[in-house]
Amino acid sequence: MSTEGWPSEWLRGVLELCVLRLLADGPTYGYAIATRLADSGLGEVKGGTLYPLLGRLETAGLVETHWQAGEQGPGRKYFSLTAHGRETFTRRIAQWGAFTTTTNTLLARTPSTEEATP
Amino acid sequence: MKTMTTEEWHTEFFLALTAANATEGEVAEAVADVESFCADSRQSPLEAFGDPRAYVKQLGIGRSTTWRERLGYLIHVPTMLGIFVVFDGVRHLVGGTTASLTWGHLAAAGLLTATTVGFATALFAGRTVVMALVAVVGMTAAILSAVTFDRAIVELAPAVSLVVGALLLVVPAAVGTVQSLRDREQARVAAQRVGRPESDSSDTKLAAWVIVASHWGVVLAAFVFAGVIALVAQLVPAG
Repeated sequence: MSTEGWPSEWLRGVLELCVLRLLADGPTYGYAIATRLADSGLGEVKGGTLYPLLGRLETAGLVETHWQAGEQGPGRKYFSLTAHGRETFTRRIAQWGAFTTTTNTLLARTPSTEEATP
Repeated sequence: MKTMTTEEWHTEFFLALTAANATEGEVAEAVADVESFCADSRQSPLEAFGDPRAYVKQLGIGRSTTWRERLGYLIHVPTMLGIFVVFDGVRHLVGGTTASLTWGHLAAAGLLTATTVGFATALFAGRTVVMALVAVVGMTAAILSAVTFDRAIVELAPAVSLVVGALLLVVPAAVGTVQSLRDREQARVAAQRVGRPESDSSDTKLAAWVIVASHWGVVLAAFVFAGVIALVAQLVPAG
């Protein structure tokens, strides 16, 4: 299936959880997150979408940052999950599992198998 | 999407961050994020981050101007007043009459300060029409005030007027220079935090000159013009 053209509202809903998932693997930086999201089939996530989201996660205390100096020009900001972020991720991934099961069950009922509404 | 060079994008981004009253640290971090991402992705800032002003809004950084910062604008009133007092002192020194500080001078100094602050705010917000309007209305009101309200608050000997004017110009310039150098140091620390080891190089030295020129340029210009007025008055006989 083509990964291009996912409805933007789906991506908006799931992007935060996907970013938390990538950060659960260890500290990483903005472009690496964008690349891994694209490689996973979510399509291109622009810096203009990613950094505000990472900023919100940092403000919420789910993520912390540290800078590594660059040899020339700016350094790289590395993002990592805080203990609170890890707890939140574990809780949300369980919720997401329940949510997708519920959604899939509903969607699996094709109109032909659906019971007629009185 | 409108086209924009990388330099134009960064200028607009910096103005938007300044308009949002972002701290030195927030500015350094936001700029470094953009530069780092663009260097890695080989995209232009416009491609990667879209409209710079919309991006600043999405970032949600910045804060409201505090009352202390607003009161800080008042430092420009003595500077503006100093220009009037020095010019008046020179004019009366040449003419051999008594100089005076008028209500018009005071009103014009206040109006010019308000105009400068309004002009800068409109510039940072990217409102060109408002900027032009503020400049024209503010300058006109200031000139009219200076000319119309000529009742003296205090009368001074021309030499005293020159000394008072010089103090009114020099003291705020000195205070402003110290404050700007402190801000620059904060910016340097913030830049180092985001891994910019080259920030303490020629760019920073140039910025120090810009700071000195921005505060002392007005003082120098006021005295040069006052000197020119005095010289012209000496060379051109009265009547």
